[in-house]
Amino acid sequence: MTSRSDLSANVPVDGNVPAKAFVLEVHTDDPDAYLAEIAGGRGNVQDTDDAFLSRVFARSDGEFWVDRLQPRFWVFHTAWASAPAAAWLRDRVESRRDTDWMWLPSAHLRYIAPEALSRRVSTKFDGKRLVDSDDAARDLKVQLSGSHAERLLDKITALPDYRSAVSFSNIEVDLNDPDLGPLRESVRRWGAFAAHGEQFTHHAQFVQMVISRYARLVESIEALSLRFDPLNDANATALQDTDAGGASFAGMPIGIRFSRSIPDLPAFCEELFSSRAPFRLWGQPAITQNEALVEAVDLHVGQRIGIELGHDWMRVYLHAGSCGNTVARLISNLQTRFDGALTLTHPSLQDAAGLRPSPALSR
Amino acid sequence: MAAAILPTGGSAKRPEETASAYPGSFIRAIIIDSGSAGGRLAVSNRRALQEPGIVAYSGQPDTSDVPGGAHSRSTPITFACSVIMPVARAPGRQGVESRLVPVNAILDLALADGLNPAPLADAGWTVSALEVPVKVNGETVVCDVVLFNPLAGHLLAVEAKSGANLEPEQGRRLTALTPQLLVIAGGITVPKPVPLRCGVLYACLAENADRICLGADEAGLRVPVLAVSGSEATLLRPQLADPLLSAALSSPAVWTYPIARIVPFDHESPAEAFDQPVRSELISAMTQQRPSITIRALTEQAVRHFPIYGRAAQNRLLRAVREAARRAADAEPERFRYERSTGVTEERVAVLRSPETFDRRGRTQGYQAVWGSRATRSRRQAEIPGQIDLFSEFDEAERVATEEESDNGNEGDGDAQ
Repeated sequence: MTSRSDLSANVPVDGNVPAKAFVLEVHTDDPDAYLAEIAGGRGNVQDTDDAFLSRVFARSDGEFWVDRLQPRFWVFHTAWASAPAAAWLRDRVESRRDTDWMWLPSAHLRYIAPEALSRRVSTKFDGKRLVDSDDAARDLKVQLSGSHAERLLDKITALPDYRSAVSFSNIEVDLNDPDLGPLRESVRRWGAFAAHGEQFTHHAQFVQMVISRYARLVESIEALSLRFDPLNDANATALQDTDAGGASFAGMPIGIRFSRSIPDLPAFCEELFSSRAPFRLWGQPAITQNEALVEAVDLHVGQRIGIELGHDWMRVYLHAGSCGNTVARLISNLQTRFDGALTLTHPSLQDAAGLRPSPALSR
Repeated sequence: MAAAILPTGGSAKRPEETASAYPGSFIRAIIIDSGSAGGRLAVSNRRALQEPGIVAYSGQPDTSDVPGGAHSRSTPITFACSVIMPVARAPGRQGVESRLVPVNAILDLALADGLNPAPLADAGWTVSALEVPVKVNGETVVCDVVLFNPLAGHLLAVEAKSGANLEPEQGRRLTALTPQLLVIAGGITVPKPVPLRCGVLYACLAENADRICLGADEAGLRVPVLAVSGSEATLLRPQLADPLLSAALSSPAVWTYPIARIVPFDHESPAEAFDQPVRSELISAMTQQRPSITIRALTEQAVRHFPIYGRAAQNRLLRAVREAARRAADAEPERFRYERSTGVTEERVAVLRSPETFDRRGRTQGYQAVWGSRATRSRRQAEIPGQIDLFSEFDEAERVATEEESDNGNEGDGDAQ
């Protein structure tokens, strides 16, 4: 049997090939059965001495070490090549309604880790479908390698005409810990990590830190979901002779404010609710001159969300039991397709989306 | 209005059936005479638009930066030129019915979502419950909204008037409420042992405010009134309000955004108000590959605020959802079927066919086709959807050409191995 400590040998961070980690958000009450299902059968899953760590044989040439320490966010460690590994996982995500990627907002990449020295950054802002062709910044693709590479994007962000087109898609950072040694991490906005370094545990802790921050965002979103719970039975009993209803209420809509205006609301809605990637939102919007209302369905997870949209704002009505990842994905995709400078109007949510990491990891 | 993608020229060609013999190809021009190159390209593009049976565009949207993007099976690989049609408009009313404006306005003022001003939330009130039935002196009165300010120990029973008439008896029952009754009836948690007090607030449309105030005076009800217009909410008769409330609403709350739609419709709403939520829930059932959904479950899901209503209203909602579901199924007989209850099955909508299991057009286009939800409209952009970016045309060729001639190492992305 294998234990967690053997991970460093199975997914080495000090080899020629980087150690990779992909994070999937999963919803399951039976993790073992779920893992067997996505692995294509129990025969493809090998237990280890660690109850939360399993080995999954993906194909003859590929395998993952699946860490389920965080019940909702599973980490798929692998030394397999990125392309087939991502393709294998993508097939699982695409074919299921209870699995999704981790959709990091731009600020989570920009401030990926305290005292991290950014070596390479890229923004791949693609506004072709949502931004007016006359806009000063419709597409922006920048990749820079160098010390403190993020500063270039910060400078572009400081330019009013271009700030809405800056969204961190990928960042590579160096971390140097006196105990854990050096580590170079490359992180993609959909929750893919690649690492070179000395110690696997440094890489694994880094991944967990990013997940924890993202989990806080998702939980903050879910804390605002609208909930109508029937009033308690005692009250109902007292009123059984009446035609009474009544429900307690919690939650509120999630507001998003855009830094750029939507010039053509029908065209924007047509694209946003076209069922196409990356948004994958189905909907039949009712559109007035200044507002669009739509009961959309997130085709990633098959859940309904209400969306109200104006020229420079959006309200999202997430209902109790719905997944906060839906809104996190919407935010991340809006940042890379329409407005990299959007803000969330709820203070705690904006805080969670723009959260800078605590210095715990760097010690 | 429902509209669907139609192939150029209105022929019966399906979207994936481009007429080109080379569906992966597109129009290229090697520019030698720069003076006329632009003109040639323009001619080529025009010809492709005008003669779709001869020249077709194809390509793929650049979604390569996300998983499930360019390589996703649900992303159409090729596009046919589309006829430009007006954008589809969903069935159903737009915005909140005026009847429901007062209740939604009160909720918006008490929810600090950061869009509209929320003076009630700022003063410490939270929304505790809706449609709370309370027994007062042997009679029941229903409070439309109950707000609680846990720091001040203040409860506010709000009567949201959809019309201009005030019912004196209801008003007298409301003013007879005690904080204890409201706490018990609303299942409210009181976190700190503060002295409790309560008050009543009437909310109505501004156009009805005078009549509501008059009705209150005639009934001897000393209650404040919140007048809600399209631009603001104003507290009338503030001298009759608790000082905390009059301070919170000392100036009109000006709407900077449309009022939030917490209660978007109710049992008295017109039939079309149910179409969007019902159809969305049916799509949701499709995505989850559910073989059917009962009308009861569909109602509870489509009407998220279903629990606030009493039995009679719930039955009316059930009927409205049933009718919306039948309309939805009738409009898509190949995908849905409404089935009456039998001895062994409940009344339900069966999902006959889902893009998840089989759709020759692929998943994305399968969903786009349901109720003709996908429509095209006049585009501002000069680009044709799906057309490959000219600027990037030689990227791959350049990479191949230079790599073949060079033995320099490529630094590449660290995670691309």
